[in-house]
Amino acid sequence: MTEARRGSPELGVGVGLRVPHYGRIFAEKPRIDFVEVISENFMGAGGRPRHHLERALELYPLVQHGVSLGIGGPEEPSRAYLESLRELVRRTKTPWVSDHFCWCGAGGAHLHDLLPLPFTPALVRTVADRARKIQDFLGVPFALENTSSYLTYKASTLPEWEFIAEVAERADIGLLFDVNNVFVTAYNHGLDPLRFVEAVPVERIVQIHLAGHTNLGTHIIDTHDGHVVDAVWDLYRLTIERAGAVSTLIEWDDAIPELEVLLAEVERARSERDRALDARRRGGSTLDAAVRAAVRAAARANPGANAVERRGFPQGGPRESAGAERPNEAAE
Amino acid sequence: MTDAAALQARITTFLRRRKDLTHDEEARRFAEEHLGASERLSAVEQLEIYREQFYLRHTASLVEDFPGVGGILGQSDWDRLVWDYLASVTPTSFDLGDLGAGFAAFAETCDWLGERRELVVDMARLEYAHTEVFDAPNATPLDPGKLGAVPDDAWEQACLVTDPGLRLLGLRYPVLALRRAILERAERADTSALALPAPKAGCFAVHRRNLAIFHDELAPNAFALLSALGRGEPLGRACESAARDGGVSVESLGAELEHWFATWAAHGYVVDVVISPK
Repeated sequence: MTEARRGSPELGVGVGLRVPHYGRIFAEKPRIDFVEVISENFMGAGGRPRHHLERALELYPLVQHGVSLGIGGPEEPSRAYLESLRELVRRTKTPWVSDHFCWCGAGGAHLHDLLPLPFTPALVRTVADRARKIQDFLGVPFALENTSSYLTYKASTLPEWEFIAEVAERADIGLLFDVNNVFVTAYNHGLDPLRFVEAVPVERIVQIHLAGHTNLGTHIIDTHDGHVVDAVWDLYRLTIERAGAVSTLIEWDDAIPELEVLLAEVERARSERDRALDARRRGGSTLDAAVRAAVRAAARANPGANAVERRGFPQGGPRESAGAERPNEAAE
Repeated sequence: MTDAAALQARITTFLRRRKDLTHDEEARRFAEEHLGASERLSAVEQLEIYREQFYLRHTASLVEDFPGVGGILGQSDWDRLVWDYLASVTPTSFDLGDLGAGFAAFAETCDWLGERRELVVDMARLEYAHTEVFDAPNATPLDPGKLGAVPDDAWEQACLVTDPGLRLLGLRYPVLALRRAILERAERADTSALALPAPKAGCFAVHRRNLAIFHDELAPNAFALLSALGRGEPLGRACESAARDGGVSVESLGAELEHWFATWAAHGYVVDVVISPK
């Protein structure tokens, strides 16, 4: 671990800690540099979720990531939610806490989705003001993540990267840069993913997310249900070449594979990261003209509609829930 | 309200609509006015992606939390109940586990469930109790010294604080065994017709101990007393309530108290004792 990134530690390459892997990760402590947990799955919780959180804290550095703040919504973020989050932050001692540039509902409704924001100067001010207050309230560095989006607003007057940069600068917060989300959004809205990566203020990035997605032909859904695709690895190296070493996390939330598959993805991330850091040291880049053209082409390609089962994708993977409980069977 | 807020409020109402927005003229007009189209999808088709995900995501959450209800109803009636429920409630909590809080009460209003209605309601109450106790806050076990320190003349005013991981259920059907059978059938991928049980009333404590959930059957009088204590009634008043509910004398309850208390303390139902002022 080295000190870097706006005073936040550089943790290496980690994974999102998900229920199907609890048993083996806790028993075998595989070579993972850190784990990330979804804050909402452990807020105010006792019982098995809290027990598993304590186990994870014994084994790995742990960071918290949220999916419910809705910082750009019409209402102020819930005080009760923030108090619960702060209690968890104090328990985990997470080096930073993150959520998304998004809104989650209006009029008291919570839609459990990460809805994209209209990119306007007015919302820059609203989101930045809230982010600064939240960072002060939580007492740890706060970071916001760029989301995958499936719609755009005619009211938007700023490119997404400019919106993100202005909020981060005005609020003095960090960025959680999701490279897969850049690719998904670029594909869905006809943007240049390289331009996105090259415009983001890399000095504010405290963490990177990598994940797989599902290409339905007409659009990509950010399902986190497979391997990171080649174009996203290319964008990841470009990010590292610009930013230097940044804590990097593999998210795999649906169709969760055997642990070995996830660990192989971690090794791939280490390898790609090393390549990019080496190029950075030499003042070069691993993305030559052909690679850059291939990335742009992938973000424009239309592979045709794929037959994919239509199902709901939970933000942050499956909850640990009572649904499969067999009462009176567990030994005390 | 800002322009963005007005936009977000409209979108929220559209995303909670039950029908595909691409066939909804109002949604189409709204989308064309406020949302951009991509090379591959129209504006309303993009909005529809989020509406479909709203229903799929929330349906999946209910499937996970209520496997017993699903097993009773079968796919078609389950879909009808869940979609009607999602159209009737507004999710307000960040916690998807809270989504089922009103599911049993909603099923109670569904006349179309016919003879299965009470069974479905009982199963929904049981499964939501599981969800509640599963990650309820941890409580410190009762210090036996605290019980011993209660003066004899203060017991009437003693309030026993119950474990946050305890729920008390009076059930009309034997849904505990039925739920177990449904889960086992699902494991075997058994799709044969499920025999639904006849009514059989019982009183149960659903309780989390050492990270696992337990069902403990309670005598009706013990259930009534524990329920009164759980409502915060002091012991004297709780005994009167339980005796009245059970049609027995307070004295006859008194004879059982020591045994019940020993069991409740051993199971961890009671986590504190507080003397309330007279």
